[in-house]
Amino acid sequence: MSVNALRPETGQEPILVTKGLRKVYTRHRQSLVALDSTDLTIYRGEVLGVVGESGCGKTTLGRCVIRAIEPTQGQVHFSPQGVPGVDLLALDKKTLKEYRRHIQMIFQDPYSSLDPRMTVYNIIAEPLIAQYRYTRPQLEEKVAEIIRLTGLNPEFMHRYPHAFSGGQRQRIGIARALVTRPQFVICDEAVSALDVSVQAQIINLLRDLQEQLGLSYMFISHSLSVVEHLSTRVCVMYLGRIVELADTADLFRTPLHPYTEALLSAHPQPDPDYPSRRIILQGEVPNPLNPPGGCPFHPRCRYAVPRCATEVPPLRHITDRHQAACHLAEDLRLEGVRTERTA
Amino acid sequence: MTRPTPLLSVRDLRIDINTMDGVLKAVRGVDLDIHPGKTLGLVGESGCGKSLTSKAILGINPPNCKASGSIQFNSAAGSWDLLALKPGAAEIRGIRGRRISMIFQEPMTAFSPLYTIGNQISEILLLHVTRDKRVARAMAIDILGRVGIASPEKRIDQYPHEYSGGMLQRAMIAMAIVCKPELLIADEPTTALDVTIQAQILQIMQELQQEFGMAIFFITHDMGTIASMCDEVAVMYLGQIVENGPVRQIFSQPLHPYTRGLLASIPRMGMDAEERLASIKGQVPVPIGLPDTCGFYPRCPLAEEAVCLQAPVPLLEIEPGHFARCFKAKAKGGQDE
Ligand SMILES: Nc1ncnc2c1ncn2[C@@H]1O[C@H](COP(=O)(O)OP(=O)(O)O)[C@@H](O)[C@H]1O
Ligand SMILES: Nc1ncnc2c1ncn2[C@@H]1O[C@H](COP(=O)(O)OP(=O)(O)O)[C@@H](O)[C@H]1O
Ligand code: SF4
Ligand SMILES: [Mg+2]
Ligand SMILES: [Mg+2]
Repeated sequence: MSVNALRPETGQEPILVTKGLRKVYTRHRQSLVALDSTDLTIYRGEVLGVVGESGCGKTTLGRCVIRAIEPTQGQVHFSPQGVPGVDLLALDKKTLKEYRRHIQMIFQDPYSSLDPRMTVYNIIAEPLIAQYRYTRPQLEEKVAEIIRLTGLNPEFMHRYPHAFSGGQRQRIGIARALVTRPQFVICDEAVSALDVSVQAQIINLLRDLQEQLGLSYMFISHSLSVVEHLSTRVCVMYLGRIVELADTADLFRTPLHPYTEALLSAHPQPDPDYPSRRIILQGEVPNPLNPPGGCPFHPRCRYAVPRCATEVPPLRHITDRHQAACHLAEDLRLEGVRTERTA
Repeated sequence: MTRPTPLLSVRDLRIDINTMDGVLKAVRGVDLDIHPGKTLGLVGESGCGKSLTSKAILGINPPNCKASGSIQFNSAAGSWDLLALKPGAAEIRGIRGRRISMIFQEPMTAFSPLYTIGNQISEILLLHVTRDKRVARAMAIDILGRVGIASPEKRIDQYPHEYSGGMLQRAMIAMAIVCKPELLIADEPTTALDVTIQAQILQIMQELQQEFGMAIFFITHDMGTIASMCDEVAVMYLGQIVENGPVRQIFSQPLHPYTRGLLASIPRMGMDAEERLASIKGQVPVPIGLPDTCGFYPRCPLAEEAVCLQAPVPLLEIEPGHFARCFKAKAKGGQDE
């Protein structure tokens, strides 16, 4: 498939395509494969959710895509509107910088990701100052506009970040990421540190901005319910690999990978009457320095057959719009989330 | 309806902290009852005073936190007002770790890095239960196996840093329950864990509760965990309990506007993706120099000066066993709009 191929069912254009993306960290002469053979397509205007437990490679994926770290192998084709499409991994430093305005990242920790010695105005304006030649009035106008869009109070522009609450700081982080008017934004646990009432404000803001500005998101989170709420499609990762990828409702209601099933059943529903049939996985995620052979999930999988211990199941299409990496995906009848509508 | 004597009754608990900006009223008149063998959940957003409340029970808050009120503990071995006991008194040492024990979010704080897990569990047994080191060791191995640690006879001689996060959480639970306490206080025990490990830990806690019959005081900011673990729920906001009742009623008929706001702001699986989340306007104020009237007033969608600010709001029994600190709370059918 060419990197510009439209999505067959919907005619959506891809904005970002990864091919065989791989990242190996080496430490003390040991190799850790944090991300392996990752092929992903993100279409323009969609929100691709990425879920999985800590250490499964979500941050590594996000940072490789934006080239905040150098992937060991692979390609990242990026096709923003109005500029030629490129493989980000093949760009020289200078060209990469020019493309950075179109692809930005929002981080988890609103406390540590903002420089405490800079005013809010300077924090937000910095990406513009660093890269482009704007006059002072132009700069001020661009900053004022993004401050308005993110619901910050313009009167507070000359204060320092410590004067703000967690939710306000996350708005500042979002304003900084969006001031260059990127087309593609990676949100890495962007609402995970916030209390629920404030988290709801930021989730609503991210969604409004996406619609108003026509953004595409890669939305990384360990929280299944937040990902479900925001994403149009979702991929589930385990030990550095994508194990399942589908439209959101499809993935949550009819999962095709045993790990997804277990993850969904473990999520505590805020409903005392939810008919829970919790699947308790045995043990913990294996040490990534010494991953199991065959299917990476097989030591904890309740459906495993002998083949699972020896043969790696590739991520493959089970239906047109639903991919899973499980030898038995066609045969298992797994349980998803029960909702009012399916009940 | 008469209820059995609670195992623990907290009354008018207040905790003041002297800070450079003035007296921070972190806990402002908390009443709670925990019944034998049952689980009471305490839920609220960060900073509302959950940890200070729970630590006051064991008398382990730092010295700059001044507590008043009473904490009546009706144990099988006798009754005490825990708040009236002198820190370090023989009674409190006989209660802490033996009749009431506590687990935390961060298991590393429960263990010393210098001693093996086995030594640390045995030490508690030698203090409270037995003088025989071999008996203590056998009991420690047994309890580690009970919380799901594989090959406990080998693991017992390892140090905390040799355990993974999930295993250390189990070991902390083992240490907390090895003396079969009457009350286990769990302060955000699974907040730092991944969901599949969280599910394991919650299951272990439920099994142990059934087996040993202990009461659990379960503290969390997560409504999902509350729904799956608790019999009764207390909702805390700005140092006060704003709602208290049986878990089903809290979720199906929340009475306080804060509880309603909290429940409405959680994304739920299966909800319509187009639906916007409700959020609570504004943010939690710093509890310094607050008025005695309703703490939620500035953020409340139902706020009405003439009704809400007339006097401090008591915790009102709106339905039998279901309390709310709101003048506008009404049984069945909700509030005045
Ligand atoms: N700089 C690094 N050096 C070595 N290992 C790393 C580094 N960053 C991450 N890892 C490892 O790579 C794996 C994936 O990490 P990460 O992408 O941060 O996962 P997630 O974001 O899903 O929690 C983990 O096993 C982690 O320990
Ligand atoms: N030792 C302390 N010194 C000063 N302030 C404190 C101290 N401990 C807690 N606080 C403050 O008291 C309030 C309640 O804290 P805490 O009980 O830890 O909240 P929670 O557990 O609900 O998140 C917070 O505003 C917190 O900042
Ligand atoms: S391939 Fe085998 S071990 Fe892996 S998820 Fe499928 S059934 Fe389980
Ligand atoms: Mg991460
Ligand atoms: Mg706390």
